[in-house]
Amino acid sequence: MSSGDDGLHVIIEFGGGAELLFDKQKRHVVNLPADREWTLKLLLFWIRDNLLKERPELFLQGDTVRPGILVLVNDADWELLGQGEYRLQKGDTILFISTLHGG
Amino acid sequence: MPVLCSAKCGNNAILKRPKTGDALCKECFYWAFETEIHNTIDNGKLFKSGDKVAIGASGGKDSTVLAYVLKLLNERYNYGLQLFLLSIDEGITGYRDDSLETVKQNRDDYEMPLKILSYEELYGWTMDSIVAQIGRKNNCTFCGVFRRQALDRGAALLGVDCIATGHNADDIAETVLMNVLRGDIARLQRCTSAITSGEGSITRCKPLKYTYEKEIVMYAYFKRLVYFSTECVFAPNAYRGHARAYLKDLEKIRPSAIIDIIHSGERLQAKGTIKMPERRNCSRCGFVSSCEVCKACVLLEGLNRGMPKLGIGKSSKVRLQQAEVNRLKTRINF
Amino acid sequence: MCSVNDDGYEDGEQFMPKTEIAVTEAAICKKCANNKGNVILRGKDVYCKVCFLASSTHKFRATLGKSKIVRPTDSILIAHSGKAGSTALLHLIKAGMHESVHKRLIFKTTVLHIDEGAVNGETLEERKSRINAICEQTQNLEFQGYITSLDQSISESEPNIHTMESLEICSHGDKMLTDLLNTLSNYTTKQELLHKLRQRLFVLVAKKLGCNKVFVGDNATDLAIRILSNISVGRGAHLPFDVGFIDNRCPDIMILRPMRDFTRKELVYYLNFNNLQIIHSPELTTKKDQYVSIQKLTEKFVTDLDLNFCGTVSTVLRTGDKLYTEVGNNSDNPCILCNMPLDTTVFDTEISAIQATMFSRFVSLQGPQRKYNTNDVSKIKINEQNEENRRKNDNCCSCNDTGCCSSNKSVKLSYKDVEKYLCYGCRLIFQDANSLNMLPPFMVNAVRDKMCLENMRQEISEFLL
Repeated sequence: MSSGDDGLHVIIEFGGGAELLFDKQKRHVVNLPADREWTLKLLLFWIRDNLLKERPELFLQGDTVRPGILVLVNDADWELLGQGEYRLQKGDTILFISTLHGG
Repeated sequence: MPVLCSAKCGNNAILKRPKTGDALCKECFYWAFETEIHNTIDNGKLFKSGDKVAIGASGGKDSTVLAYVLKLLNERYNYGLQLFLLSIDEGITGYRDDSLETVKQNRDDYEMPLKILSYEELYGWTMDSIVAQIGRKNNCTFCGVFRRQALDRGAALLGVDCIATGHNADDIAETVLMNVLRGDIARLQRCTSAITSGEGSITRCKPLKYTYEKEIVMYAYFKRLVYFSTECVFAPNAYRGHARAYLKDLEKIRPSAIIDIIHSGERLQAKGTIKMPERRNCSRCGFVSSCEVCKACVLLEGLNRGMPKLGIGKSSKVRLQQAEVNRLKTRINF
Repeated sequence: MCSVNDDGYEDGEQFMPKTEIAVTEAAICKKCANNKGNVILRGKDVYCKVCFLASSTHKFRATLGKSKIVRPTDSILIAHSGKAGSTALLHLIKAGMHESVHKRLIFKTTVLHIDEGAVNGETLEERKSRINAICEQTQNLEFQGYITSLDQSISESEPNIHTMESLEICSHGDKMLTDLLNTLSNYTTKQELLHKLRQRLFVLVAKKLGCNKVFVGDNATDLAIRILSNISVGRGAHLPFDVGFIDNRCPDIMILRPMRDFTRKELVYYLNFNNLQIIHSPELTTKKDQYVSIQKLTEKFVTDLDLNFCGTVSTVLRTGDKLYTEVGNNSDNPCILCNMPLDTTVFDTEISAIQATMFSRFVSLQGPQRKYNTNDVSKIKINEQNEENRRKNDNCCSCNDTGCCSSNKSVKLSYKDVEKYLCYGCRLIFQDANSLNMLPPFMVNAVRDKMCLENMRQEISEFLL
């Protein structure tokens, strides 16, 4: 659990073109409020509300990422970790890579 | 809780394979990924020893991974290939100029000779200038037709035996769906073959035909391969976009759907009575065409004569327009 | 990279004009050029009620007549689900039977309704009232009818059927059917299996009633959806049978689709103008979201696309019409579920999606440091065989005394045993089934017979050599 009021520190990264929805900024170090247990699903909504600059439908679809965006937690496929149910840990790096751009 | 690698090597898995559902660690994934491409090349007889091969390089993820893996497999399995990079510069500011920098990086990293051919030198027009003339409506038609022929011309200049392109399993499945949606039975039959050759036209092959886009992106990421991932500045095609979104949704429901679609495409057959377009050579430029004059020459003439609508749309419509023009002409003569 | 024209489509991507609905205020029927329009089709063609109905009848008769397959001596089983296609079908046939002598339809007809309430979550009361409504409608249209339930497709014995007068519900087979469906892990495969069972039951009942043809109510929109979803579940090879006018996979009983030229929209108008009601019943995926199954997703995809590009349904349907299925040399060994030739042969000298998938399975279980770091693919193939054999020995269906593999308890069936006799698409149905204990008896027996035959062949061949 996070210490005191510090909240939960995680690193959020975007690649493969997904960064274009976030002002082309690839790396975001964020401090999530300590008032709840953070799952990846909750983080997706938080990103939509706090980081996303445009066109949320290109990032989210329903309560998950748009099909075609890969999610890695500490360099491991989120499909191995229970996807949206995964509980975030302090210092986690969450990477979103779009497969839909370029090629 | 970490998942262990399916290959029982004892390491933690980093990826779930969409085709089979297996979980693999980094090293086992690299090996499986590369060996599968080798299987496609070897079993599909895509190359012969001594072949000169041009890799169609856009700077994007697929061609970057293709160049990397072909170099690696060529050395590992002694294919005896001579590899080149072939890039087309459509002349799109803010898009192709940047991605060509990536291709030049590939040239240096993989030590392969690079040939860049531009629309400007081939046709006298850049995409920027075409769009300035015709607007944003049919520009993708021009670009697509010109690119296909430009690759052929580049290959002829390099004197290569074949062009390898970065089409992955997702691209093939999408093309199957597209051909069903537009009712193109001839291409529906052809689009799943890993290697295509015809008289007058250079052989093209798709070594990544059975490789999922997801794995290509993962491979590029873990190998830290640098690729260019910006969308073309000219509007992407809406209809194709629908098909891609449908495909990605299918993959979400059942990851094997992509390979299942390719299986469908490989096994479906056209009735004997369906006419297949014949192949011949364009009477003007000499490159492959299904008509007397190829599409690229028709489009180019339209541009040069200030009639860019020439050759756009269904050919019957064009013929109708031409008939109309002729009718008017005869009327004037009377 | 941009993939426009990658496959050399010379007309670029300009193949489907976007629908532009431009209806003038006082739209006049384009056919009689007199009456005010009531219907607009294909986003542009306006018809009045009279001309629309006349052209519907004409279209139906043309579909039937074109093929020259339907004859006066035929005895036809008409599948009636209560939905739009079959309701309109019944009405069109009835109208055809009252035409003037030279145009009259004179084949013999029997109506069949299959009760699927057990799998669609209907209560017994709901099932009763639906069946009542179906019977009433059938009788009002002056047809003879029978009722059966979908579980009758599972057993090997003749299906039980009841005349519509008896209004009976047979629910004693419900559990067997729901248990079978529950072994499948997702709605894509459940819908697939239900469809195959339904097709099988049509044929079984037709045989029992002495009918030689079956009419089903599949409409153009349904079939366009089926073309795409069947391609997506690996059934491309069999499309002509699954969506064409004629399905003659069963040699003595043909399934025909006389409503295949009507879109959903046309059916709605047809029913509306004739004051016909459809009889609602829920389906397996009713009220679920689009991601619940491939079929449901495809339905949304096709109907949305057809709104924006109104030629979509007819273009897709025409694509399907240009395809062909080779039945020739494999016809003596069809898939034990869908009866189509197996499309699963792997040629050593060619690459294919099946070969690539098998290879993926194999390399995924190996590690790089082990045996195969050389240019020796043939070695891999041999080991692949070993691997297959190894898998064969675990992963058994472990059928015990529950009576699934009833007759011959000495042989246990594994997925590997069954897989051999299934086409690619049917394999996908059972691939991630959590047990094969509930496999329908007709399939189990078919596998047994085939295994027996193979063993015999092997024994004989030893003598011959």
